[in-house]
Amino acid sequence: MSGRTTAARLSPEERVKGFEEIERTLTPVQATIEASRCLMCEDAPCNKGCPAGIDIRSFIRKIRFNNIWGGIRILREANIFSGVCGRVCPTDALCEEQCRSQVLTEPINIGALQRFLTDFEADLGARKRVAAEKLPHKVAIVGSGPAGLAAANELALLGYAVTVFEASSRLGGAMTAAIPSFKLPNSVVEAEIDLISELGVEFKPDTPLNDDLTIDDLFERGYEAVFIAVGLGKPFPLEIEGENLQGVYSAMELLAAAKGLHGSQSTKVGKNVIVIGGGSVAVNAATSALRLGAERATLVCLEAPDEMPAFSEDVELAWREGVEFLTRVRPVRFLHNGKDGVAGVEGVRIDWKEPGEFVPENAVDVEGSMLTLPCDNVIVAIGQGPDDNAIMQFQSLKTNVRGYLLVDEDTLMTSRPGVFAGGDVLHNPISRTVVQAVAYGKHAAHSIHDYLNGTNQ
Amino acid sequence: MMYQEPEVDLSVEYCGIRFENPFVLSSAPPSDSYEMVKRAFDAGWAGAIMKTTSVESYQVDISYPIMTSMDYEEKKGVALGNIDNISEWHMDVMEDAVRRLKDEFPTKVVGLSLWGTTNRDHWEELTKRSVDVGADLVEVSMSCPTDSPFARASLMVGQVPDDVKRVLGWVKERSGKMPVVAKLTSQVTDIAEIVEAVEEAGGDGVCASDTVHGLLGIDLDTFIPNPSINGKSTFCGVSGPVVKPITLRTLAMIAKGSGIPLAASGGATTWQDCAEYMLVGASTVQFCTAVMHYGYDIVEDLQEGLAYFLEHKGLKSSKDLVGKALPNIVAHGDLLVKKDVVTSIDEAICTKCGMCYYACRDGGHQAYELAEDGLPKPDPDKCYGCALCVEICPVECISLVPRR
Ligand SMILES: Cc1cc2nc3c(=O)[nH]c(=O)nc-3n(C[C@H](O)[C@H](O)[C@H](O)COP(=O)(O)OP(=O)(O)OC[C@H]3O[C@@H](n4cnc5c(N)ncnc54)[C@H](O)[C@@H]3O)c2cc1C
Ligand SMILES: Cc1cc2nc3c(=O)[nH]c(=O)nc-3n(C[C@H](O)[C@H](O)[C@H](O)COP(=O)(O)O)c2cc1C
Ligand code: SF4
Ligand code: SF4
Ligand code: SF4
Repeated sequence: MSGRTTAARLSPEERVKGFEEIERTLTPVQATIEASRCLMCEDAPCNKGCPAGIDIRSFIRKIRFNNIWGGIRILREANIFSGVCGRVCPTDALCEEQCRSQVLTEPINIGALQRFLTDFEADLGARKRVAAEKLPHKVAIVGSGPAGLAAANELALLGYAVTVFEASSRLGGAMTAAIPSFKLPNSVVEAEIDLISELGVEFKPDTPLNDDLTIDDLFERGYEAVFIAVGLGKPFPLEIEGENLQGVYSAMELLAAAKGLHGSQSTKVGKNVIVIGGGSVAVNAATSALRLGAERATLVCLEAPDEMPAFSEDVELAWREGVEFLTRVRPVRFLHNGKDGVAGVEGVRIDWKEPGEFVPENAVDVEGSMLTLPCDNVIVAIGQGPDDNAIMQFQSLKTNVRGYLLVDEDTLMTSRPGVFAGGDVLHNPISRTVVQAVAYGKHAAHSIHDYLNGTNQ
Repeated sequence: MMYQEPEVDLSVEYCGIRFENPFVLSSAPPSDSYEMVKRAFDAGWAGAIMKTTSVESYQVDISYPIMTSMDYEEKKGVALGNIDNISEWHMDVMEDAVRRLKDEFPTKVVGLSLWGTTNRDHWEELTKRSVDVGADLVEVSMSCPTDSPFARASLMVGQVPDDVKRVLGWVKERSGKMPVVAKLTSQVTDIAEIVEAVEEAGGDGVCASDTVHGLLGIDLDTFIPNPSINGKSTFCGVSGPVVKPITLRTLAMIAKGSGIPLAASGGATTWQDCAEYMLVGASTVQFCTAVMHYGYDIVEDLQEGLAYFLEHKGLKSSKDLVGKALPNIVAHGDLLVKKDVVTSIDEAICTKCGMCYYACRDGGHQAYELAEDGLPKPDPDKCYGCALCVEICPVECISLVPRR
């Protein structure tokens, strides 16, 4: 039994020069080799690990037996963002976690095989999808991230007239506004959004829900159900001294600049950058900073390397590219350069009061361990929460104290009949990933379908 | 189905019978009971030839284990070997299966495969009962390696033209309108001679072919070939991917000489294999080993794969494939004598492994030099364009280009 087949990658030296996608697609020979390693397990433990419900065993078998279009069909039926997910899913924690090939060598490279199929489709041009007969119902989707778009796709296939309202000028949510292009080129997301648009879904960019366009307005305009998938728009502040100095950015600002979003040109990166945070967003910000001109990027976080919540693959990439890690450190304040610009970070080493609980409240400072780190920029990446504006907007809906929307677990319906919610904006998402957002979108679409059919009768 | 399906017709015709698609279970373990074939039909198979059966008074001896296989490097089961016999179920059980299957699946094709030894009464009885129960066709099993009662013990019916005629004659006498198919062996000197015998006896079609008689391997500890039955073994029937080239050749040889309806058997795994078998004249393609290895589900990939292929080729029907490669097969002496291609290497893909270098040095024409950095450099003046290196390169980066 041979080991895992992986696609070619740009070397760390080459890739930090720009935002070119790091990983290539598998060649047909590689894909066949990898697919024929699959044991085609009867109970397919891999399938249970995919939140979007892709029949992995079946699509791999289709590669193995050269039914490439059939494999694409399996993917698209379950996950319209299969090309995105093949690239960004933390597969080691999802579909590959229980893969039985590990008994022999290593898990099947499921993400790469998935991507092989969608890249093939992109090269040849996607086949036409046919929606069910038109239904006389309008549904509004608020937010065009993976949750909103997956719902739009599913509802359009069921025959609904769907309109997507998006605050930003660009569709795609975090996929086109945050996840770095060296992991996920915008063109991949755009191609998959095109597939949805071909079903007749209407997109309204630059159209936020706000005081001028409320949920009430949507119902008045004839929409019979609303799906709220606005993600997490507000970066959490550290709330320490110096946070308003020039040169201090949120990770979302830096990543948006890296993705070339309008209005982000003012984000300027100096030679020496410190990133605060231990999640994937922080790690992505550090590797993006290197590509935006930084010569040195240091990640400062509370967690030790094995405690960091970041996806292991992101950490590995960053390490290879030369990102430095300063762990178990708490930033205390940001230092200024004599004027209103940032010049450094003062921090202190920490320990955990209770073992195994990696939250700020559980940290204790180690006495006499103050340290000063000079820098030109600080990127704050300690997490995001629901946007205050959004909360105001949805004030009629029940949220928890931190602004996350509360929904019925079975139906994803909020406290207001006909209004559903899913994706990152929920109070307790199982995990914050694109594929989980897709799963929420599909779930919501079917609940909306049931709801509208119910009211019909 | 959310995708627009290819607008193609997969159905085929064989011996005047319509098959929904060309994919049929051959007479073998996957078609040994009503319950199994029912599952196969639900999965999408267009037809099944029930495993070969006999009259109730005939005793079927089987020595287990019956299976062995050959791996090549890390690839398991390139060849399967069996010392199975005909079904342990007799005609009464198979009759019941045909009745129930035809009742539940009127559009599917159900055939019986018969074995009546040297006994004319057995053959006649089996044939009559097949007609009565409504089997769509019968296959006359004349190439089962394990039971060879006629001219010489080592010979199969299908290897002796007179025996073929004799047995087929008995069956044809009682078969009425029901088509009679001869299941042949590829292991004959002249397959055309055998097919002539089939035609003379009034056979309606042939199935080419049964397993290839072989010996799959010998245990180097015990010197006993596989599989060992109490320290002894015997020659086995070889099937699976390894026999594909033999099947292709047998089909082509038959189709070039005769218009008799052809069913392919031996070595099919993917829809590509099927397309190739059809291109050399087969109307239906039978499967055994691939199903034994991967299950009935593969038929989904066969149907879908073939449909997309037909669409891609701009063909409307799988019938359009039948025989299309035959004009491109000529005798060796009729090939153009030429030496006008040389190798060209895509250096961006080359891994510098040097396999092409060794192959050419010791099996070709010493056309390769290795550059300092390991890159292979073929010399066009020495290269004959034999294509050995093209076939061997692990990353498929060598191609043949016109000689300048
Ligand atoms: C830097 C970064 C890297 C990541 N890397 C990965 C990864 O590698 N793998 C992975 O699986 N996941 C990753 N994620 C997580 C993943 O992107 C999210 O979990 C996912 O995008 C959530 O989808 P969503 O649809 O709920 O929200 P979002 O993608 O956030 O989309 C919400 C959309 O709603 C819009 N919106 C907000 N308010 C309004 C309003 N009032 N009116 C109209 N529209 C509004 C927003 O503009 C946005 O387009 C990453 C996230 C980030 C930030
Ligand atoms: C275990 C086993 C049992 C078989 N039994 C029969 C049989 O009873 N009658 C028959 O006509 N062929 C029998 N065959 C031959 C198959 O029907 C088929 O012709 C052969 O295996 C070649 O096709 P394949 O490569 O698709 O397996 C048997 C094959 C195998 C492997
Ligand atoms: S969508 Fe993600 S989790 Fe699901 S199979 Fe693909 S790579 Fe795995
Ligand atoms: S668990 Fe792994 S080996 Fe088993 S079917 Fe899934 S991908 Fe294949
Ligand atoms: S066999 Fe192929 S990969 Fe290896 S050296 Fe030759 S051309 Fe290069």
